[in-house]
Amino acid sequence: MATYQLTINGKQQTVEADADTPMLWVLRDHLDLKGTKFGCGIAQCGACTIHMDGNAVRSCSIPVSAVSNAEITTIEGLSKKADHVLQKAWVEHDVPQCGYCQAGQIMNAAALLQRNSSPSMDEIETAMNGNLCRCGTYNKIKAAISSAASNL
Amino acid sequence: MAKERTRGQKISRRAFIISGAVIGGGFALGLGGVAFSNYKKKQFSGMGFEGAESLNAFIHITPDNKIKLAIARAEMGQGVHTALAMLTAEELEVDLEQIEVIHPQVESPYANVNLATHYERTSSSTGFHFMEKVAYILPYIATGGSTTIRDGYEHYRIMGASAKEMLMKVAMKKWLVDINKLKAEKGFFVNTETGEKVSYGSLAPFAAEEKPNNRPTLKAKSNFKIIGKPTQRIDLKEKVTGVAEFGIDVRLPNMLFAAVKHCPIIGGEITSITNESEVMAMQGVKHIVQWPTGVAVIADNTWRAQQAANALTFEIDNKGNEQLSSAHISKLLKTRLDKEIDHVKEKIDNTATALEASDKVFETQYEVPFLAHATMEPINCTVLVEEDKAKVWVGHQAPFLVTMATAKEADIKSRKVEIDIKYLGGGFGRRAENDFVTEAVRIAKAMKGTPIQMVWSREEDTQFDTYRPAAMASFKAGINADGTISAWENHVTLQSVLRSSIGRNFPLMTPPESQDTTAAEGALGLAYNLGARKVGYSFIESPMRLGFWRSVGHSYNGFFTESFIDELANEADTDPYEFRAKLLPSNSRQKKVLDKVAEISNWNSPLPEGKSRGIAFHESFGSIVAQVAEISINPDKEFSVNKVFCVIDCGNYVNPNTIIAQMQSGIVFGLTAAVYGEITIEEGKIQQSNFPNYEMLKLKHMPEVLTNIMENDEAPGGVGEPGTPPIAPALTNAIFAATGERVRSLPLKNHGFKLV
Repeated sequence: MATYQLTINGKQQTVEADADTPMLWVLRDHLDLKGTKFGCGIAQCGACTIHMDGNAVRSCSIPVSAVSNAEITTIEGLSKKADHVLQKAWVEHDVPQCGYCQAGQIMNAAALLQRNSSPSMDEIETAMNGNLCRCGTYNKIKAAISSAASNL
Repeated sequence: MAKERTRGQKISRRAFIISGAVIGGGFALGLGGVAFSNYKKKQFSGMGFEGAESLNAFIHITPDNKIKLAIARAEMGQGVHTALAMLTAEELEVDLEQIEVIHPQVESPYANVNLATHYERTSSSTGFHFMEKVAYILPYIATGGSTTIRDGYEHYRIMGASAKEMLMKVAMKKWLVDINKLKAEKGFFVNTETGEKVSYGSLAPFAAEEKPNNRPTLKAKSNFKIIGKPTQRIDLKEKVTGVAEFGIDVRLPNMLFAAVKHCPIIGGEITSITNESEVMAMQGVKHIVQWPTGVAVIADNTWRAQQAANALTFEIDNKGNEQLSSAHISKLLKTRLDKEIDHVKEKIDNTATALEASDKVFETQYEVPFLAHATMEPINCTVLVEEDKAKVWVGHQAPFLVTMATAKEADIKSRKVEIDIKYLGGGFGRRAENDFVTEAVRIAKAMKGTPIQMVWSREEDTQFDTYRPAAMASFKAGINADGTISAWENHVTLQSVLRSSIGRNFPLMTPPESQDTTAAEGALGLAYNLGARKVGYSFIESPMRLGFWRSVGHSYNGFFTESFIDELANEADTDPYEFRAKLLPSNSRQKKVLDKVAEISNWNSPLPEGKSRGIAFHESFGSIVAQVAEISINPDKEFSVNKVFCVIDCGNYVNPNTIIAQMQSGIVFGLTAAVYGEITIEEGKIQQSNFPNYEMLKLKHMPEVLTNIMENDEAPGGVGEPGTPPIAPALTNAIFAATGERVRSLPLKNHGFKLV
């Protein structure tokens, strides 16, 4: 067990955790930030996607010891009033079904728009292809990202 | 009848000043018959509805005009919370935003009568009344079989309308006006003479004393303002902010976390842990719990619990299953298939004679593999066991099984079990099982007084699933020179889902083999004119644990029957759409759906080189669906599904947004299975473990889906499952149209086809 100083959603946090604990579980079990979801544990589904210095990463495969000074953003920190352009587009397009994968989808899409504010459909498909959804909300996800980008 | 009131209700009552007397009376409301009497006998706990006035078991109104609506149906993505809220809001005359959904305890008023009886609630049949009683007594609270709207379409409207009547009576007395001077809107009554307004919330305490009318007048369809109109889900905001609470998100003071390892041999048992002291010595480990099929490690966080569970080594008793393999099960299915049908469930005329007289006889066989559910949220359950009571937090499709399993495992009375049903990160039938609830209770029982959250890893979720069975089918048909069918024989072999699942969850209700309603569903009662018919099934036995998987028997029988019909069209040298159209009764709902899909897909228009179409049609869960898959395919068998045209006739419907979403959802689910889905067994072990070897359809492979909903005034049908069965045959029929290669077994990846 070691002590880690983390910057999460703009807030300094001190966490006592084993060095190999994935950020996913640090967020969920240590910091009570449960919007980030456990899906596969091996970075193959995208449900646990968060931002590390603005890049989308799979939090299930990043040990807390590797985070050090990085700025971490989770779905809880994406916006203050659920008003991120993607969250608004997600509502407008009635995207979620069960909703379990959606935090990961939105975080992944947010990182995409951060680096490319007007992605083509091909770029959207490539960027989002690693985020699984069992309910089949894919078409609405594509539409929501497109319309969010056009509103940027 | 005496009624317990909470403090909040007393305050609201006192605070309300009204002119005119308020008469006392029962507040219980049911649909009459058993629902009503049973409900009256059993005191409704009202848990979760504190501070609100109950107008009936479903509708509870707070002083600040919020409607707490009891919905004992699992929200697993299929949009039932939104749909049932819409039905209520329509008749109650409130805004959807005023409604807050509360999952009630396991109590009679909330039984799923349609799922238990397979009848509409208005049925007068004796069979219905018997099963209706059973449903209320259990009480049968479950979500499955695409029944929520079929069960609730009228019921929730009646509850809304009845509650509105009770409120209206009080408003009439308050203002001493006639009913025609009152207008209900957005949770208020307006006195149209004076313009005065009064909120439902302020009337509710008095309305609760009014006698409920179990047969209120319902709105005419032409007056609907909400039902049938495209409506956004009511759970959107919480689902885009990470706030929505799934079972896995439950956090409680002093909670501990458990990870589980199951015996890797199917049907085998763990006899001993060989490194218990080493695992107990690992960081944060609190306890180890062992039972025949599994071991759990309890630790202070999920990661430590998982690490410790992964470190476990044990000795196992294979129970003779170490040689079990897919090939072995396949051989059992084939051997059984080539013998006579055990349970003939449909017989029209004499197929042998008709086949003899046919111009042409065509026969073939099909096979599908075992499938896992792979819900995005891995299986989990949180339990607190105390001396004589227990509480369970879980996403579950069958709360009555949760209560039953918990009471049994914790050795307490059912009424001492409290449940808190969370959102489900996918259900698809997996969360209708109680195996994981029993495990979680067993684990929590080892540390009474401490809440424990059990989470399975993705690997355990995949390898200890309750699988869609592998199945085979043989067909033999007689074709006449004019393209009609003179005879149809269909034999399905598989292991029984009902006997496996109900045998585990609810042994008393296990049906005999001859009464398994799922084995041949989708093979029986086909709308096509097929001449003489003989359809039935035979079972094999295996140690595999089977369960309900989105569309259940229809998932394989849809593929079998619609592949074979397509083959017959080819044998008859007829266009696959024309062939089907000719076999369906003219002017039937079925024919209209088929014609519509041909129309919207421009079936007769030519396609460029490398593109093709396939059509399939299937009825399930009270709805009729036809789909056309439009694909691109190259000589290397690389293909894309470009578009799926989908037509559904689900009768009177509630939310077109939901239906469109569910058609897409059902199609993705079916496509994933058709292209990749396969659970295989070697040396007694499941070979797949996680998404890399149990693949899911990804975003870039998602076809455009164009859905058309038929307009009519028929009884509501289901929408959660009916979109799944037609897509596999629509796809393989398209592949046949393009390549001449008939795919008779799934998944496609085993035939060299690659989705690109």
